[in-house]
Amino acid sequence: MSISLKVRGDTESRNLEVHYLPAKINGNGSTDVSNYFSSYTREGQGNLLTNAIRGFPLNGEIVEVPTTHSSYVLQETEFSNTEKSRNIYVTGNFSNFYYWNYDKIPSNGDAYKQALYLFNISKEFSEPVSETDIQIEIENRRKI
Amino acid sequence: MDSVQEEPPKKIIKTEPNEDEIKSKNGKIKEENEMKKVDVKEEISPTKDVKAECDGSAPASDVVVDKIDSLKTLGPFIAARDNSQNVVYFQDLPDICKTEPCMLGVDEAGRGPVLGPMVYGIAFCPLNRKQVLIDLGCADSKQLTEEKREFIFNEMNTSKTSRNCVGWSVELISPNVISTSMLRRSKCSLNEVSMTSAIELIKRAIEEGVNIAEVYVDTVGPPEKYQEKLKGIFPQFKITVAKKADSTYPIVSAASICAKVTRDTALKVWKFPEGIKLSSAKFGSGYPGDPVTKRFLSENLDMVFGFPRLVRFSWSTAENALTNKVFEMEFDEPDDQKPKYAGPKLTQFFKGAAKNGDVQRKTCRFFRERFLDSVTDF
Repeated sequence: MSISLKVRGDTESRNLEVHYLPAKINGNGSTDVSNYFSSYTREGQGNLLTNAIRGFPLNGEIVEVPTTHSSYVLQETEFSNTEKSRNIYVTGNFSNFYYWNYDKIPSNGDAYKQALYLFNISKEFSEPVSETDIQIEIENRRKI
Repeated sequence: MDSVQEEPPKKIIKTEPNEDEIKSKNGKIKEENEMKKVDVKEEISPTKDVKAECDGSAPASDVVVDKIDSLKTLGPFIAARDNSQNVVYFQDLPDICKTEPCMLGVDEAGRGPVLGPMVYGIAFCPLNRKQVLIDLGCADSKQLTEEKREFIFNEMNTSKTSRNCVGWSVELISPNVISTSMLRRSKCSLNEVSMTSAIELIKRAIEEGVNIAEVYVDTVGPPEKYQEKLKGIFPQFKITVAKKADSTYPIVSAASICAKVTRDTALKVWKFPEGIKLSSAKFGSGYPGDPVTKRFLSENLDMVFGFPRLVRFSWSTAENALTNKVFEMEFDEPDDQKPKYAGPKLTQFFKGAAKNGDVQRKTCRFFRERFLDSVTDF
């Protein structure tokens, strides 16, 4: 199976407002986010944001995407014959997004923030190590 | 969900045994009102115009109104405020209320409806000026017509006699706040929300310098518990919590009228941040049984967000109206069920070392706690 990623025009110009919600929505479709949701975002003390979805209180903040990464929104059209090839379109990008918790102030204990530690670990694992680095490390160990 | 909360109040009135007593009292008051009406007819006509203006011009007014001095300014005042947050208004209190011992009445409006704010109101006046309230026509607000309530409200704020001795304050509890309070992780019931509001309003009255001697509170639930709670907070006052206090004590009726007029006006001037253009006639009464309200609920659905935030999502009526109509939404921890402890038993750590270490390898804790997994297919 092949996947072709299609970019139409300049994605940098299509900066999207993205919300990370603590809920799973069982459905796909378009909706009026700015009127039904964004218009109710209120800023409290210390840049903390509040809002609600379907009556459930949300606490949130604006989170920057790590500078080592780029974020894009991908969309797949329904009618592709999934057996052979799939077409996925890049519909826009974002450099930050709204992170929302259900009635809990965002903290470093949140799973999303914790997951980002993987970047540090994978960097350590995958960075090339030169011969001299190993020699230095061995020397250091001997001293102990 | 407390089903009692959604019961239309009319039903409750009907089951009340002392209904006849109330009626006869109201009858008397009404007769008095009729007589008064003749005297003040000329004063009534301007209020009628006021009402028409208030309804029509409210959305257009961009000027922020900070003082409510008549029925006319109530609408613009509410319209200029954020309807997703609570709003408190405290009317300038008459000087006499600082010196003379006062009675203070507390009542609410709009507890049952699935739409719009719930409004808490307090009214106060010196103990020896009770007659002013009776002359105003303060009686059971549910027995009064909407026009009559609005007329009394306007009188309270414009006529010299009542401005000199009657003060009032209201809190509009936004439907958005009601929903989010009731759907918190640690649920806050509507009773708690309303008690807090009542207590805060009384505290505010004390702060403003009202010389309170007696407090009368109308309640829906059992009065004893509520009375005890209030006595604990305000031991210095004589506190009376009673069912249907609204029809027994004129000061509670006054509070009730302020609350009810404020709620009705709030619905009339409601602006949808969602961009929906609908007049309040299209919402209906907000009671779950009202066919107009039912139609409003079924016609204003958003697949993701459900309803506009005029609706109290925490009402079972609202919840039921959403099931199978819009996308299902699953929250990470939606239930308040007691979490079962599913982790390893503490004793396991002591056993492990002694026996032949037949340990099954799980995914590293680092990945499990962060919900990280390798994905090859997406």
